[in-house]
Amino acid sequence: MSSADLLPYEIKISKTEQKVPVVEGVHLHSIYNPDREAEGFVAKHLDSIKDNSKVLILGLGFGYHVNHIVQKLKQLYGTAFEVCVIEPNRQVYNDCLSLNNLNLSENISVHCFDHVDSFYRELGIVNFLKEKPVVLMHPASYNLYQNFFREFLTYKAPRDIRHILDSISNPEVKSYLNSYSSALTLDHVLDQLKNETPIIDNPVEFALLAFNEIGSLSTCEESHE
Amino acid sequence: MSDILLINFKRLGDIYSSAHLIQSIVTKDPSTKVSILVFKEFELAARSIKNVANVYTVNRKEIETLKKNRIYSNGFALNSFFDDINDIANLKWDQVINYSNDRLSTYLTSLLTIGSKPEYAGIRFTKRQTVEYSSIWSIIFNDVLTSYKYTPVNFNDAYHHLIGAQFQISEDSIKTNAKYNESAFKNFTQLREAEARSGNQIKLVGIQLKTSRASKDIPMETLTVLVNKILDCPELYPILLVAPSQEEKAIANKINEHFDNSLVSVEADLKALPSVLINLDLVITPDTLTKHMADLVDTPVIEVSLGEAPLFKQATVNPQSIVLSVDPALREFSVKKTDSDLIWKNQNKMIEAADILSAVFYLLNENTALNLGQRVCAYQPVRDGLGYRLKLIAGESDPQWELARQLGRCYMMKSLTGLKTDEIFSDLVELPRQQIRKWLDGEKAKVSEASKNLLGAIRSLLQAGENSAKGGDFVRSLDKLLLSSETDSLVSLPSLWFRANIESLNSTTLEENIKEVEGLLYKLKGEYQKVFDLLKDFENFANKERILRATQNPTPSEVAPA
Repeated sequence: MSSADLLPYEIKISKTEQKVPVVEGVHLHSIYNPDREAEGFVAKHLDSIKDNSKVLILGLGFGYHVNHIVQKLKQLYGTAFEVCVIEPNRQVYNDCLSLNNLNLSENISVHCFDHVDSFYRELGIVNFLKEKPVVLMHPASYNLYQNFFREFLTYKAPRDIRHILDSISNPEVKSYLNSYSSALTLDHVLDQLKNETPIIDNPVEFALLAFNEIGSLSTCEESHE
Repeated sequence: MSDILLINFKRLGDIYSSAHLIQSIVTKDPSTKVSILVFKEFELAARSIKNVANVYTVNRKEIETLKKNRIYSNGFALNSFFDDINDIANLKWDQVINYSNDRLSTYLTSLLTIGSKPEYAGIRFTKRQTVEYSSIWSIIFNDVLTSYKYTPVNFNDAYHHLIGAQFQISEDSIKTNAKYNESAFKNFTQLREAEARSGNQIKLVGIQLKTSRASKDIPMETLTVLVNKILDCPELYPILLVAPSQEEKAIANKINEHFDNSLVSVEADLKALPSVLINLDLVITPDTLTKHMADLVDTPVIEVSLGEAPLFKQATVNPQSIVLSVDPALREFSVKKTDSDLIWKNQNKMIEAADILSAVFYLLNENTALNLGQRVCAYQPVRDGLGYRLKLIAGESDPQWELARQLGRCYMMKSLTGLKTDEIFSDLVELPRQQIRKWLDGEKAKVSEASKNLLGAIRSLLQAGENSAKGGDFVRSLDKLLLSSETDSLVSLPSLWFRANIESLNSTTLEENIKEVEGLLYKLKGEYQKVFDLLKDFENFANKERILRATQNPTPSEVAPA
């Protein structure tokens, strides 16, 4: 359970009879007209989403802004868009989904984890982030969970073997790296392998040495006269 | 039936160029299945090569992103890489060809071949991470071609010898798209017919406008003048060739502005380009993938070799093509030329539109002479015992360069194949006698020096064998000997082979090492003798030729030997 889950929480009804989550006294959407507020959210970010069909939204609330963004993306890109939503508060997340407020489709994924590093271990999120999406902050959510989102936006994955092992799927590689001190980084292991290992007798070692070379290749111009 | 994996992590032009080797392998044994491993961004090019059984890819860009970006666990990069190589690692290969010869491909070659049956061609790392060579040709490729200034063989020749295949240019190496073929044929036929109605039987001349680096581009002014000159010739018609990129379209538009936007420009991606090239009579191009692709569809090329373009390593191999270059003695073939470097900018202007046009007419009509500007040379690929060499057919090239390059090739022919070298000798005797004399004297002196150092090293080794305290002397004499590999003279060639062998010694005991080194030293002695014999053979040939010509057209000064 994250710290967000411990905050006082209630649901209110807006003037337009829509449900609005209130966390620690902060209304996550307009108590007057959540949809109109969401339209404003889209207008503010229109230029950004015109340039990029991949959108990362920080803060779910009850999804009014998400629905409007998705609607605009459909107009711009048809079905060729993708939205990923990050929400730290499990109560809000569960209620949003159970209220069926969100128009879910295969273009939209919503994630809720207790800790920031859990998001970055989720393969779907990693693959999405590789596409360099535009990042939109739901203002009310961002203000409420500032520390969480700041940590999210400045996250640096741990480099030590202990943490890397969690995300490795190849059992042979996992087993091989497990034989090293968990405090070492992968760079240390690769450096040791390349410069201090007298005999390479494990296929995984040759593969790791090959892996080490990616990113350090000279181009074919090295062969010039 | 054998299964061969060819690992090629080079770029687009090299992907296409590898088609020659693949066709040769399959021609030699049609039951062979050749698969290739490339970077994912070049998958499309790889899939367009005929006779490729499977294309495997490594998604370099994704792996680099996952590696370098601190938000991602290293585990994801590892997963991506191991997923990519999983297929090739679990298949049974009969041979692995390390085509790209970089550290990544070399480690992968080791992964796939060490401790198991597959043969390998090229280099791999041993378990001790020293380099191991499959044959002398892998030494040539890895050590000689990267060090020796006067490239004696091109990459294609080296690759073919590496695997023992015969290099025959095939004009059917690339898949084409029937729709694009039809469209290109129809459009170009319409153009020809339209011109024919005006009484002109035209040749369509494609002009590739852009390369990947500004330093290799034909200057804009030269292109514009060239187009103008082509338009002045009723029998020629220019077609601008551009890739579907904003930059190239802008260049085409800029040139077109000079001609009231009347020029035909063809925008073609990699899928469509072969169809375009097949339907052209000739292509003028700097060092680009267009050149390699044109070779594969047998369209003649006038390659304008500029900047750091690898003239003697990777020029066009089509005997119907021509390569234009500034005198190679003026060029610096190292990479990373900067915008502020005026030397290459000025050099690139030395090949003028008139030179290129002269080459066009020479190719289209063999009776036309090639007239080139000062210090501009023209080469043509010709077949010989080693493959295809670039023969100087016109223009001014530094004779010392020509002699070093061609006789380097002769040495390799003699040493590796035992083939005759008279054809190359015949080309070289045309050079000024004094220059030949000067070069021969210089080379003989270097052979003598190297031989002296070699004998010193052998003596030191024998003494060290009897008295280990003399080990230091041997090391010093070996260092002195190895300097011969850095002289860019003929004697460097066997010295480079020797150096590569010394650096990759795999013996585990001192006694074994000494024995191996001794064997290598005596082998080197034999090679130095071959160099000396070659110089003598050439000298005798040149003298004989001179006397023969003097006899046929006697003048007093021609009778005396070189």
